[in-house]
Amino acid sequence: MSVLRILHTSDLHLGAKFTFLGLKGKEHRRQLLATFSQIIDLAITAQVDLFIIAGDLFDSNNPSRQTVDAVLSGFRHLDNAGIDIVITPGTHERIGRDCIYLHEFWNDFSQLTIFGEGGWNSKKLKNIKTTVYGWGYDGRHPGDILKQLRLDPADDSHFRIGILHGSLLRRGMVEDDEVIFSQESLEQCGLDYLALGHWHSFLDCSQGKTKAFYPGPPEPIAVGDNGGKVILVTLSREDSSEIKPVQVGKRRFIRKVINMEMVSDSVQLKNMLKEWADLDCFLSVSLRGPTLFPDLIDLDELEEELSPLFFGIRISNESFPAPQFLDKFRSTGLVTSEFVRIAEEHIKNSSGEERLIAEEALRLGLAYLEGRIKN
Amino acid sequence: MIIERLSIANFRRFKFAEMEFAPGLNVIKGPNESGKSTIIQAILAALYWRPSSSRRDILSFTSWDSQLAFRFELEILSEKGEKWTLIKDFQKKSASLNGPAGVVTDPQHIDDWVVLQTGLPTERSYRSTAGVKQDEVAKISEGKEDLRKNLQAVVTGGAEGVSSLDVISSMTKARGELLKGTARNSRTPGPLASVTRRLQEAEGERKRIKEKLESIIQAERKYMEIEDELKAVEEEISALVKIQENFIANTSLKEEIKELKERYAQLAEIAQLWEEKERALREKEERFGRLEKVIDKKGAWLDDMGSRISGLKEGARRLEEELTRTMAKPVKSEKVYTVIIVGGLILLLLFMILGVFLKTYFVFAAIGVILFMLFFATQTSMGKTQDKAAYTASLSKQLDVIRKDLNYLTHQIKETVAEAGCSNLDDYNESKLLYLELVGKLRDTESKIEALSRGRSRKELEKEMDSLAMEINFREERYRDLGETLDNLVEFEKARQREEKLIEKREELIREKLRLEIILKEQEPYQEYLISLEEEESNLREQLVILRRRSEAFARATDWIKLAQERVMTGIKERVEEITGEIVSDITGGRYSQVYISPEDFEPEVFSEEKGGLSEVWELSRGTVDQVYLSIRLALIQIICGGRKPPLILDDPFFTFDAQRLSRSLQLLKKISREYQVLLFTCTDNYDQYADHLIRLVPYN
Repeated sequence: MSVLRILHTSDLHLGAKFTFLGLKGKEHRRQLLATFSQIIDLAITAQVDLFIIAGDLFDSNNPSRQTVDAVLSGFRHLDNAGIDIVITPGTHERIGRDCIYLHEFWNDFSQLTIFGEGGWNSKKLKNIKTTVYGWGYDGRHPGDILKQLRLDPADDSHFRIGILHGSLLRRGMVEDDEVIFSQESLEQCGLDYLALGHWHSFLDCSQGKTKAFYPGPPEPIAVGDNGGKVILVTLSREDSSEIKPVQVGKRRFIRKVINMEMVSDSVQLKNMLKEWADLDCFLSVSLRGPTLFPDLIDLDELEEELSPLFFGIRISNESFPAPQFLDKFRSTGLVTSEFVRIAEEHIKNSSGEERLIAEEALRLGLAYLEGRIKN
Repeated sequence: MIIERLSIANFRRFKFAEMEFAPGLNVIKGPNESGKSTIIQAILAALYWRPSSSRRDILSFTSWDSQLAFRFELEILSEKGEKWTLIKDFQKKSASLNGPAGVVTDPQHIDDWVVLQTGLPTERSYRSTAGVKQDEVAKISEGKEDLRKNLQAVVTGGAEGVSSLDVISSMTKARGELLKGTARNSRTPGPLASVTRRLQEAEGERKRIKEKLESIIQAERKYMEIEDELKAVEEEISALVKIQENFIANTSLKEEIKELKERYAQLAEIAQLWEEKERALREKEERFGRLEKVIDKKGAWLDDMGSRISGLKEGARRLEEELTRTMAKPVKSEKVYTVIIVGGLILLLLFMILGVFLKTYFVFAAIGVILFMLFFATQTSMGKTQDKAAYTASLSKQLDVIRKDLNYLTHQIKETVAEAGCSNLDDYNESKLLYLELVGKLRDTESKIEALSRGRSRKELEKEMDSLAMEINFREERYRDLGETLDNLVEFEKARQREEKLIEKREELIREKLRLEIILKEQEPYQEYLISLEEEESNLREQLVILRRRSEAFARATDWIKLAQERVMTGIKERVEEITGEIVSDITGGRYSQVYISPEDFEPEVFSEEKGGLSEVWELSRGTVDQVYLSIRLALIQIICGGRKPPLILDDPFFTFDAQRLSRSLQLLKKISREYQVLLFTCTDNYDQYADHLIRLVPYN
């Protein structure tokens, strides 16, 4: 075999809870399963030789029967198509007494390899002349994991593939995690391809001759997840590999920050939010910065009005009254002015929830004093 | 601050208008619909509106027949005596402030400049203090409006007409609505109670579902245990079946191996015969090869010769014996015959005696025989004696011939047997016997081979032997590999009984497994429901946090407004009282000179010397009340504006006043206009005589 085709995915988190989605959580859970099924179809259509899941296929070791059945059904299709499947457990399904991968139903698949505990293990897939090295996640491991990898020099396989659920050490950004590896060890590991999982965004970490990628979750799990892709890898013995990210995800969970200094009124704010309208988009908006109309925004009303335009929308108001807005009150020496001064003092001297309360008290007080809220 | 000139373009009814104002009292007079309110709005808009604002209501002020948005130009003389020109163009969305320091276009700077000049931060605060609307004063004095409320509103410094006391009341009420139903049950609970109740319900439901799921999880654990047990039972059954099969297979294999070995032994025997045959053939070839050729060619002759030599030797021996006997014992025959004759004669005598006495024919017959014998013996004895010599000679002659033949033959035979490797004939015969014995044995072997092999060639037999050896080997290996087995039938029976018990147990476990599978099938909806409940709970908790925060914020805001009110009133009370007292004293000619204001509720009280104590304003005359009210308001302007003097914009404030009250109020106004530019808008001629500058407005057609 001179060419090896791989479909690499990770972090599907099937069965995850989505507390921030409210009643839409169930719908998104169903979407995760639909996308998983779509990935299986893609693997078969693309005629891959190897199907890799680099951890966190499930969100917990106790997924629902429906979720497990969907996975088993998908794997059956791959098995029937003669595609080798390789899985490593992730942080959400760590190896232990209750590990989902200890169930016997996985034994039904002749071409399924699940890496267990005990450091690096390897599996030679003779049909595709490939050896896969995997690290089953079973908790925190100190040191550079990839440094512990030893390839068999007598191995006559054409391709050496690694699978790991962990974090790339990035000085000043990511320096500690339960499983970590460095760019240096990646460069020296000798693998042709390292299938990574754990990070929720697409990332190319290739070093030297080793190609290494994080595909990110096919469907977003948390706001800000930058995934939606799986990776189709074509490795060639002639050193002409091809890495092709393929969009499979339907939804986007976007976080936006609006600088309220740039917004003159609630109509403008509404129009700005409408520009991101998408029925497959969950939009989490933070209103930040100084605002000249701190009490004009009724978030509940705004969310209610905009929610039909989105899969979901959540607006949090972290803006604060602009100094020039408060200056107007400061100069008079009357009740409103004194109220602003007292509130500002409380805001300044408090933190956390107490600060949030003080900020809201300021907004509410001004709204009433300014006659914008009347009984 | 003095507004010197106002220019308006495309604003409401004014396509274009320009007017100049003077310091002091400016009376802007015009009938209804002549644009007085528009001019007031234009002044405030020129001061406070931002041309870049996207407020829709602003655009509605554009003249109906104009394609362009409005524009203002305001010339102002500051208290420092500086001339400024403020231009706001809502068409170009630009603002500029031209003054001694140059041109400023930054909207924020312009806003700050306006506050600096007026001391009033917003249009609302302007309207609440330096702006007095038509009817406002009249209503107060007529008791239609609560004076305190208006004073509160002014002191509040918020929106027009909003008093801090009202705000406190509204916020307390709003908080009450928010918290309704939290302390005790309510038919119409507020949001906090509703969310709390929903959360409690969700928590209860989640707890119930979790318990249900726990039981399902237990069932699942039990299911897994049963699966393990079932597996163990299956394995034991399988082992027992295997052990029994081994036992049967063991027995069968033993027999098969025995049978095969017997067959192999038979074939081995044949092989042995083949070996023997080959050995015999080799021996025959090696040992008897020359002999066999001699036997084949001259065997018969040698046999004859042997017989003949034997015969000759026997003949010679006999002849020698005869000759010797003849030579050595010649009388021996005569004596015999003599004995025979004597014996015959005795017998004859006896018979004759017998005949005499017995007289029978038998006796006579016997006598005759004896006589004959006597005759014959006599004759023979005589012949033999005669022949003895001849006989001896003959014997010697015969003996010589035989000896010659014998010598010849012996020589011939010796040569022949030498060819066969034998030293003599006896040796030959002995070898021949051995040869024949070997040949016989060979024939026996061949016969046996023929009989046993039943037509199969040696090659075929060897092949069959190999095949049998493999079969035996295979079976022996199988036998060895059979593993654990049973020693005897008793054990076999025990194993069978154990298997039956295990099969029964397996059936029980399968039934239990099926029962648990039904329970586990119920898991799915519960699991999803639980997740949904957890999501809902999380959502409700967030809502609760927000509502509690809001409730707390209401409480804080209320407290802070109260505190602010207390501080403000404490701070300004004395100054308001002082300034108001001065103004009131001026207007009333010293009749009233002391005014007191309650810090709690803004209730003004006026000291009356006539009464010798404090009087509430309602105890005073209407005119005095108006004056007290205006005085307080003007005092507040001085305090609020930090010494700045914004133009007072009065929209026909004394419209319904009677002549006396109007006169006193105008006197007050005239006095105020010495410090403050007053823009008095009216539709009457009542103020003309007091005006420092009069502007007449023409009604719009």
